[in-house]
Amino acid sequence: MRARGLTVLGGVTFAAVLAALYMALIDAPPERFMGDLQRLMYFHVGSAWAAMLAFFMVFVYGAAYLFTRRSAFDRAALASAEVGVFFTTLVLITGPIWARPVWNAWWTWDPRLTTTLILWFIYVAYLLLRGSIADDARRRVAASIFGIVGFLDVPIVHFSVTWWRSIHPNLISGGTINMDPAMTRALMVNGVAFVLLYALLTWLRTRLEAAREEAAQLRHRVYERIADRPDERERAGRNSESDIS
Amino acid sequence: MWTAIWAIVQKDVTLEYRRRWLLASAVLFGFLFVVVLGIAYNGKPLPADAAAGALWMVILFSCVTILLRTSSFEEEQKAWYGLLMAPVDRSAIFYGKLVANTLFLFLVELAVTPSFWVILGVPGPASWLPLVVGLAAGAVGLAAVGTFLLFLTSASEGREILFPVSLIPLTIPLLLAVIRLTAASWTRSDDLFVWYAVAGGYLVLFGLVPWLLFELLVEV
Repeated sequence: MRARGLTVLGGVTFAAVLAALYMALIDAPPERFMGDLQRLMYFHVGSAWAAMLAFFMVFVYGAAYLFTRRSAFDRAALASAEVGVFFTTLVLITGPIWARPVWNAWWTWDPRLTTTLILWFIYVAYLLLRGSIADDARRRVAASIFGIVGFLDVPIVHFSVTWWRSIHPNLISGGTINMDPAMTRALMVNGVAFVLLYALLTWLRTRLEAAREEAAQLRHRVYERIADRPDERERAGRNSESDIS
Repeated sequence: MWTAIWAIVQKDVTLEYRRRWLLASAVLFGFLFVVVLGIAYNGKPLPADAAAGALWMVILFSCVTILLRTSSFEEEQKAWYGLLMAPVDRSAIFYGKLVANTLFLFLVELAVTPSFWVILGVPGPASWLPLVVGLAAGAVGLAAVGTFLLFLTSASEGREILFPVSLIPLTIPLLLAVIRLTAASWTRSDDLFVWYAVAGGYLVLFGLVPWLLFELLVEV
């Protein structure tokens, strides 16, 4: 079950991550006031972009599942949500590390921070909800609806929190980017690398989920066979007894 | 459609009137919370921001308890299937439940809120409009998202905890707006238009989304 596409994507992602690391850590100049600390931005912003994409895809896959009822879409939504929560966790960890020396606080109630935190809560709830519904069909429908509603909630959360307060650096204002070109380049390459990483991880996780579902089905069929044939059931019973002793 | 909604509201209100203990305990819980808060503040009057937060904590807790309880009453004796089989538009069931839950929440709010200025020394509201609008919008919004999530989590094994865990992040914009409105009613501040707008927009969206998704929702 080797997919050629996966190998190619793995290779490309590996190269992109190496290039991103080189550009972020060596090629880009240190920032005038923050020094090397500012290099955290490349990973912080990169994972934030990947996380946004991931949650958008949960919405898309959820809608696609509800229209087509193909379980592959649901597996992709699950994978996307898990990878998205992982990247959001990275954002929420690198953020305070960067903010503590620069803003002199681990946490502030800035719109983007608050939105990211709420986003994290919504999608952790999404994963927990999935985990707590045993029935396959009902879990898929519930998760798809939750993924759609959760994503629709994101802009409202963002606007309401923006009206509440604001200190996040606005790097992109009025369509122009206020950064050294080498920094911009490094940021873009990191953005691409993180998006590729998102695609790779989601693909792998989707495959894992498909394998897990197939294994569950096979196990179910084995039990059915055993239940049909008394002699095999006896043998299976003996085996399990000897396993215990 | 309207008669169906009205019938469901009537049914739920009658049940609640005959049962009584659920709303009474929710109100009592609110008073107990206020007493504990008064002890913690050592008899000093509570600042308006803290009071607004505390009030909405009480309301959130009552909301979770009341909604979970009323929906599990529906599942006892399989009354729920009877409702689903009724020959009416299914979204009528949703809106009937929504109206009933809003009523219950609003009653609890009306009973608990005065205790904040009676017991905790919060000054009486300087302006009534933001307070009343905030309480009403909060009741409608929490009931709307809550009723929606009750359907969504109905297949979940961990419903009692997953219901509040998904309710709170989804209602953050609404909570933000109504908490600001409540705090403002105690301190008198201007420029509340944005919070009225956020609350209104949120209610429109979450009043309509369930209507669009309802046929799918009853599948869960």
